[in-house]
Amino acid sequence: MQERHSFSDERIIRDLLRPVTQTSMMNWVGFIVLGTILTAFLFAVGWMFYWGVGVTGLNRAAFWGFMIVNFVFWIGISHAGVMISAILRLTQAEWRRPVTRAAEVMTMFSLMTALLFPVIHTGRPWRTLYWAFPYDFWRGIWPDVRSALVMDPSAIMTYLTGTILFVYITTIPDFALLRDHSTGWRHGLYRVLALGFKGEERQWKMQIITGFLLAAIMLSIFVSVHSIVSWDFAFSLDPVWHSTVWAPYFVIGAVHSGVSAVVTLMALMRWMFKFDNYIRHEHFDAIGRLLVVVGTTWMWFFLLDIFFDLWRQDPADDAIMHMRFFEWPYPLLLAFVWIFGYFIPVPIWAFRRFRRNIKLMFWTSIMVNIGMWAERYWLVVPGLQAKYQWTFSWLPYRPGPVEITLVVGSFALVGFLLLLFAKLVPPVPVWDELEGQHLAAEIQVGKRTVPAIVREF
Amino acid sequence: MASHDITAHNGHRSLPRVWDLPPQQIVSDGLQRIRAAGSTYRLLVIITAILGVVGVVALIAGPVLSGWGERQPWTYVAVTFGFLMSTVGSAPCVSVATRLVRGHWRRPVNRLAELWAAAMIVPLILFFLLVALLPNTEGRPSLWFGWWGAPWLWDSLMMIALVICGYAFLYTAARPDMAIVRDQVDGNLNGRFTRLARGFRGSIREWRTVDRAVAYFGAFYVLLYVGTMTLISSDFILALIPGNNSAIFPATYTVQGLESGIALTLVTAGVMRAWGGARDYLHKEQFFALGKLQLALGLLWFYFHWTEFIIWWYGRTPRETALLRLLYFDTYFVPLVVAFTLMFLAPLTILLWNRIRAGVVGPIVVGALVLVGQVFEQIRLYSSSFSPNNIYEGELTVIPPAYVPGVLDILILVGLIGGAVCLGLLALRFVPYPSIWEVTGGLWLRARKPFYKTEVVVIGKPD
Repeated sequence: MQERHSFSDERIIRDLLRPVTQTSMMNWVGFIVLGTILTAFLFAVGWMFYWGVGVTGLNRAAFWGFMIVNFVFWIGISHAGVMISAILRLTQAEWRRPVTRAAEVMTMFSLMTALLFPVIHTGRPWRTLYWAFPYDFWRGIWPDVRSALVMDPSAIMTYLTGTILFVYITTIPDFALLRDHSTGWRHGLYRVLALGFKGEERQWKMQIITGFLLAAIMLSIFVSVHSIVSWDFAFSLDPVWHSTVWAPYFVIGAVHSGVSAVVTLMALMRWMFKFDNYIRHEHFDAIGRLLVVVGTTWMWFFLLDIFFDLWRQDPADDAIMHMRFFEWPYPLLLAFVWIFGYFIPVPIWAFRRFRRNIKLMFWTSIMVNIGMWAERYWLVVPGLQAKYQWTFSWLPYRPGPVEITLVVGSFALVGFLLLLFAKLVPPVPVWDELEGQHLAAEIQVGKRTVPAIVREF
Repeated sequence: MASHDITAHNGHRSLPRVWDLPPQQIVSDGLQRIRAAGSTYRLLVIITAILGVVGVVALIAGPVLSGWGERQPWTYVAVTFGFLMSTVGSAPCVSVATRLVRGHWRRPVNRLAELWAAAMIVPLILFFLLVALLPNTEGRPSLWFGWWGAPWLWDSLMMIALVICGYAFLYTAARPDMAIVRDQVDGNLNGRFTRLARGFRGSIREWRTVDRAVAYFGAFYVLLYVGTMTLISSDFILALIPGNNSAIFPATYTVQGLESGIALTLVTAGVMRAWGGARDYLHKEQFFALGKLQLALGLLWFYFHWTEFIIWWYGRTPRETALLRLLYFDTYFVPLVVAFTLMFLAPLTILLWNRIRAGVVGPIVVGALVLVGQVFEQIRLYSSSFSPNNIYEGELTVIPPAYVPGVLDILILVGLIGGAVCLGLLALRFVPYPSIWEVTGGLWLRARKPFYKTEVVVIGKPD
């Protein structure tokens, strides 16, 4: 049953602008805790730059460890924004309204965080820049544009640009609202950002059409980004990496972890900003149903990948699969993937009563992301750690404190940026919520009054 | 009854009058085909039944008489099986998916999609003929890793479970309507529907049971469908092409099945609208929504194909080069191009346009094109998998020539598809269209209300 309330426009605006206009104790605690972890993160990065990547557990031949796993993980989280915002916008799913902004912003910040990792994991990022600009063509060396390693930054930058545009376009009406409700430097800032939006019919039309167009365009970019990330691995002939299923498998995994992260964020926003009237049980119910489908599809792809790794009956494949199943710590990670990624959360989400329990949804969504982080490690690291025919020197990969700080710090970075954003822009789109309120109706079915919604047809 | 015309409201924006029917009219429309079959309907049944008989005769005269020693004569039996699994097998999934997302527009469409479960007996019979061709899994790649009875026993169990679940889904969704028919007809028909309705009276408890049974059978059907398609694609296609270990293929095969299920639903809706007296129920709303799904699945089909192609293209090992030559560039290039054009390019270039997608004809035409493309896709897949001689080799060393169908092959294909259509048509005599209880329920949740200066339709969302 829906718990929709009918509030006046003034009440909705006041409630939803509260995070911008007031700073609660929870906010301050959040800023201080996350800021402290972030300082440790910056120190770890500085430490690694000063002493070199030798301070991490990376070695020959395990060149890709925690940092690349973290890169794949954050790219995955970034898929929530488009999944929630674009697809649900295009399909006119009504329950999307309170969660779109948070999902889009999370996309933006997780993408930025993801982008950091391939750069810093080189240990000398300024040399990465030198590799690109100026490129020494005079020696007859040309970058291989067919390489996924070249496609990848292009795809991610396109996605980031598109996401920023998307967030901006969908925030313009709220900037205008903030402009009209603020004074001082904030007023000046919002006036510039609102681009003269006055709520005229033509402006609304342009804003909505642009939003739809961007949503449609972003969908293709969304699919391509994680596909290309998967091809960073799959284009090589490395056993178990060279698999045709990796692109859609990565995409669906990304959606699974990204949408789960949105659930985490929804619960946090409800508790932190007292949005009980806007982020309601029915929203958790709807997103929980979506997650059952997404999670089960992800499990199907996961099984396809495992089965077809074994199908080949190739000694090199079998050696890595043996490592994945029987050599420490991979069996533990596999257990995390199965138990946290699927077998605890999805059966719970199958029941409506549990989908409407916000605490349960919060903890199960966190579980999924623990499982999904473990999954990325389980997929990526063993592929390089095995001894091949021409590998004569190799060591097992053991992440050090620097890498652990970097991983924890990346969560703090995204959290910090989200908190900061919520101080500038309402985390629930006010105009979208107002529109939803205006489109809401009720109809009488027998003795019962049923919530209804205006439809185009 | 003709559709109502545009009605103006206060001289402003007006809405077409759709679904504005009294419940009695819906009951009467649902009973129409049960009470008396029209001449067009009879003619269609006779034609498709004759085709079915021709198909069975061709099946016996060709593959059955040649025995189970060689796979190649069975190629077009497999093509027909694959086509039917991808169309009549997947159509009920469309009904399940639209129920899951609680789309209001689905109500007149669901029954059309579910009806095709009645034809699942045809692919089941073909499956039993084909499964005997599969060799033992020893010494060759397979999903089974030495399981006892594999692949025959487990494939058969999955297939039987799928067909039983399909019939159960169709029956549970139709049972309330069968009770309505029972209460409205006399004589022999009353006896038939009394047996079918099994004492359904419409108590709250019975309705709850119907709701749950439809949801559970539907969910199981989709899970079984995905599982069955995964097994079929790996046992009947991948395992029979040496060196083909494309992990994405079972997903591609399932997605192309779902794409064709939507196409079949669209075409069926088009036929029912044009000749089946369903003009009052099937409007732009239904075709628009199905068109969006058709476009999405067409894009997904291409994406899955592309991910397979690009990995082989970048890998370029001898194994992958041979597969590219067999499946993409040399041997089956023509069926690939036809399938690519009809299953991807046509939906993309036609349905991309809002104006076309929001019409009735565009989505139906695309649906028909996708079904034709599906035939060519099945030809490409099964011709390539039923041709290699030594499936125990690690990779394809000799690329077999393209299999060219004979007259019997074409008769098998056309005839058996005709037979399946005949079963779908016959099911209409037992299961009313439209779904009386769902469409009537939809009327309660739909209202026209003034909205500022205009009038809009509001849809009730009880949960």
